[in-house]
Amino acid sequence: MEILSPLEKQLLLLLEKHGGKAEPEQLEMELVKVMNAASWLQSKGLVGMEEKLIKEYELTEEGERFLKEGLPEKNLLKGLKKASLEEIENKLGRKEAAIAIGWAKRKGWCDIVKEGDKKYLVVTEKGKEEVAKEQAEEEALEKIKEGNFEIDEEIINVLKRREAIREKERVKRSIFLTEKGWNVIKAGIKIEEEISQLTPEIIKSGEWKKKKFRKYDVKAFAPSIYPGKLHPMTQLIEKIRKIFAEIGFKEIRGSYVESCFWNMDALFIPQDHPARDMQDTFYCKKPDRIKIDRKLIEKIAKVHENGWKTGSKGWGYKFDEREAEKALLRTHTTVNTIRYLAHNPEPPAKVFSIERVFRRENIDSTHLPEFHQIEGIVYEKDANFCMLKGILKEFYNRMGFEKIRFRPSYFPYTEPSLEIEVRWQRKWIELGGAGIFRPEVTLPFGIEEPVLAWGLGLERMAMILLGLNDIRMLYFSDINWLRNLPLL
Amino acid sequence: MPVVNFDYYDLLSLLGREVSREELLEKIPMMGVCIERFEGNEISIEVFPNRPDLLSVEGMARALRAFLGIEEGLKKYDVAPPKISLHVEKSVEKVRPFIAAAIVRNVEMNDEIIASLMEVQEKLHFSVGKDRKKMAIGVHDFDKVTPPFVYKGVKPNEIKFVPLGKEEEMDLNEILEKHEKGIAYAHLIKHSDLYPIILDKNGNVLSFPPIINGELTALNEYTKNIFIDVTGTDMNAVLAALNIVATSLAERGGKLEQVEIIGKKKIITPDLTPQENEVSIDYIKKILKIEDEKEILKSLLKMGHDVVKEGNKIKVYSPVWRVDILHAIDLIEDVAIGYGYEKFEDMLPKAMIFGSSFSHDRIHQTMIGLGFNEVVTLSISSPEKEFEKMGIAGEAVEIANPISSEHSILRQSLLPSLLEILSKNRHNDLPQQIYEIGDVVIFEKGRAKQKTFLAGVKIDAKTGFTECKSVVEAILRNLGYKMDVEEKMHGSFIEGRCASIMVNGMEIGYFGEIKPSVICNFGLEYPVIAFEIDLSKLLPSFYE
Repeated sequence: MEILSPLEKQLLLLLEKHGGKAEPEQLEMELVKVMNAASWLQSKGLVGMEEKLIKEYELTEEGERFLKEGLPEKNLLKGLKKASLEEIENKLGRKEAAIAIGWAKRKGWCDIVKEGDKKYLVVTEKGKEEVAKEQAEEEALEKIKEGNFEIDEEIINVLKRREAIREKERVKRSIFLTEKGWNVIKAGIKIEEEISQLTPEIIKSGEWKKKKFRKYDVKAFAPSIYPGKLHPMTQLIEKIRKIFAEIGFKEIRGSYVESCFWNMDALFIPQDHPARDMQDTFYCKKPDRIKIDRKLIEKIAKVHENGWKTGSKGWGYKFDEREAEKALLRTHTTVNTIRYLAHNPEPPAKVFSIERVFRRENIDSTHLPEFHQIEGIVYEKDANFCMLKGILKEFYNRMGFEKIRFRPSYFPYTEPSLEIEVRWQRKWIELGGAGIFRPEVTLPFGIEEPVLAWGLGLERMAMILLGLNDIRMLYFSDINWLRNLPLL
Repeated sequence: MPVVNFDYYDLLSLLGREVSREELLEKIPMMGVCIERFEGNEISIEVFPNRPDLLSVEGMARALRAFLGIEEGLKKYDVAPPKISLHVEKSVEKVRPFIAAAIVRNVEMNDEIIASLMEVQEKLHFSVGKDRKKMAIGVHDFDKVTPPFVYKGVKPNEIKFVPLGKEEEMDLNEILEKHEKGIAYAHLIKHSDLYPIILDKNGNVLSFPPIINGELTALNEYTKNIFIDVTGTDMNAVLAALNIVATSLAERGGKLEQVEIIGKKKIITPDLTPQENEVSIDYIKKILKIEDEKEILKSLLKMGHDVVKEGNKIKVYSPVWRVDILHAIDLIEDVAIGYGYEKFEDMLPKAMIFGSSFSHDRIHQTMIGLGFNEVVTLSISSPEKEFEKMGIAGEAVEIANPISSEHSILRQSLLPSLLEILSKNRHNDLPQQIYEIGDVVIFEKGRAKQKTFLAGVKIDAKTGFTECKSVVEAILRNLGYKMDVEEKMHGSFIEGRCASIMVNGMEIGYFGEIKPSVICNFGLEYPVIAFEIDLSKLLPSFYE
């Protein structure tokens, strides 16, 4: 005869009440306790547990619509004998018309007849009859809505094809009494007293000396707990911060709302550059302008027009000074570094920033209207192209990327320019751009030595390191995903 | 960025040598363009906006021939002096002042040439032409018309002709109203009462730029001699496009011939005289650390320049279609590309500087210790989320051209985004407690002021003001501050259950129980507590 705890005994009796088999959730007992007791009883061979994958369905938006408004083919044919396809399309819209006509035809409710160069839909006898009746699909949709899934497979398939329903799989767990379990119940249950929960009283009274401790099933279910933690992007940012600080870089910060002047003009981005379009850059209505020193604008205007004293030809167009004070949401953090340099024109400097930038993108799985850039510069006597390669390689090595490649690229404010790619799962992935600031960018601010500069993507790196294929996961986080994500 | 599409075998025939697919895949990206696709025989290459000369297969082949060492140095073409002229009348000055033209004779027309011409025109119209605004190209069968030509402004109903691809004559107004190209580009000339037109000696219409050519001069497989016109509002763009299109046809075996353009001044186009620039060898060595001067010269040849070394300077003769050379630094980049980016050694900066960073370590540690999960949310928000749902009024930085009304302002508080995260997590187990450290932008007196905030929310079946107060007090204790509180009225919180957080007599934030109406606005069904602290005020030395 097995020794049973009060809980085990309770569970056996509950199972008996439910006819010997039940889902844990159906039992009149806390779920944690049920699972605990069940696993004990299972190890004693008194109950068994089974898991079955069952299919359930739910209505899609389309399905809800069918249910509310009726099937499109039915709506189409209601009160109709004949109509030109063009007329139907005009009435229902091209997409809806295609669905309605397609299904009506498939069901043999109509024929398509050609008269002249126009096509007509003619309702068949069958069509007339069927339109008045409730269709099997409609009946099935109602059942699904009520949570009843006893529906003919064929109808289910039709509804799936019409994207009216979605399949969900659910694991159905149940606990049942074994033959041995039934025998125990029939024999009646006797319990020998033993210690389950150790209490201060038991310790103080010395009662523990006289009694046995009930053995616990160490494999029994324990509820999950979740400690607080940093968002994975912050973990990544902290790691990057550490790397740059360790190799002697100073972090700087800037502002989201910037002027065209600092974001574009000072960086020698011509006024007709496509990136400045309303299509690509967010401009501000409030505030719409940001005051800039006139003299500075005039100097930069000359750089654009004829190169000023930089040795450049300039872009050779007439600079519109009114553009410079327009307010925008910064499109890159290069604006942080050029501002820093303008205020600190004496070398050396090594600064970086990891901040948000804004581009006029619609939200989808690979785009967001705001994201982070890892920006940095090295400004010292005789800074050169080889150092730029070296420092970027060092950074990506420390981030865990072993193979790094540099390709020629183009940015209006750097020359030479390069693009950085890392090898990841047998592919080259582009992670950022870099270059040496053009003399047209540096000389107007009295910056005489070469400035090595880079702007690297953070989100893309986060996505490959976290194995994500949807960037939205980062900004619209599912708390369960965060709870279960291991630390980086 | 523009993408050029062409055929592998067409490229090979222009290269004049067998080059394997593998070699192209490896070398093309190292020349400064991106291979977007190379499937079967179709190649698509993305070209950066500084190199419009690569926007045709002929231009790409020309650059590759030099880069691969098939034909190094400056590419020269024979150009015959002008035999015909084009007269520019004053009447066109206000609407589209500039024009340049070229003749290409003895072209052996085939499908590839026609396809490539279409491709290069389209790509140039977009990139250099800014969708035909700065310049537009017309290509004509020269033998269908009689020189000299005239470029002038005419009244919209003064002239009728059959536009390309149509069968009936239309006047200029009809074209702008009915023709698909007319509708698309009318805005470029609509401001003027005279419209630009190019006519031949007998009044035949070659083109109604930048809208459409005449059907009369349409190219076909029998076309032998081609007339190219480029009109525009920017002379540099006009000349660049003409040189690129004309030399593309010369690459196909056509013979270039100049045209005399007689307007206020007389010019002769195309003018392929190379650009002359000087770079100091020291400058190259300083930027690139290439010590071997022979390598420097060879690299420039591989990028299609001719070079003459003069003392410690190099005279560089660059093709006129290289419109990206503004400064000696642009030639230095060509040295780097010609040399090969992969060949540079890695060096590290020498300056000794101590690093420092703005880590929020102490705050993160505290929040994690309290069992809060950090989240990151977007800073672009909506008035609905920031104000209406929160039951408050206020002002914020506003975007003039938002992607949607849901993303039209900058957040001025973190709480709305945190409540939104809770609303997206209704299906997950309670309790949920989340926080964010992030920047908000306050719009005050016409100016945007950025601040760093810390905010947290907790949702649970049972939670309230006291718990929230304990949390906020714990945060401030960890940061070394003693907290005072004062009663506060705030539209998002239940009256009498909201308090200001006071440190040294200054309000640095607030906390309390969120109003049921706000809870409902976010689709939530359980009590929520919330706090927000202005870190820029609490720790000004760190955050300001």
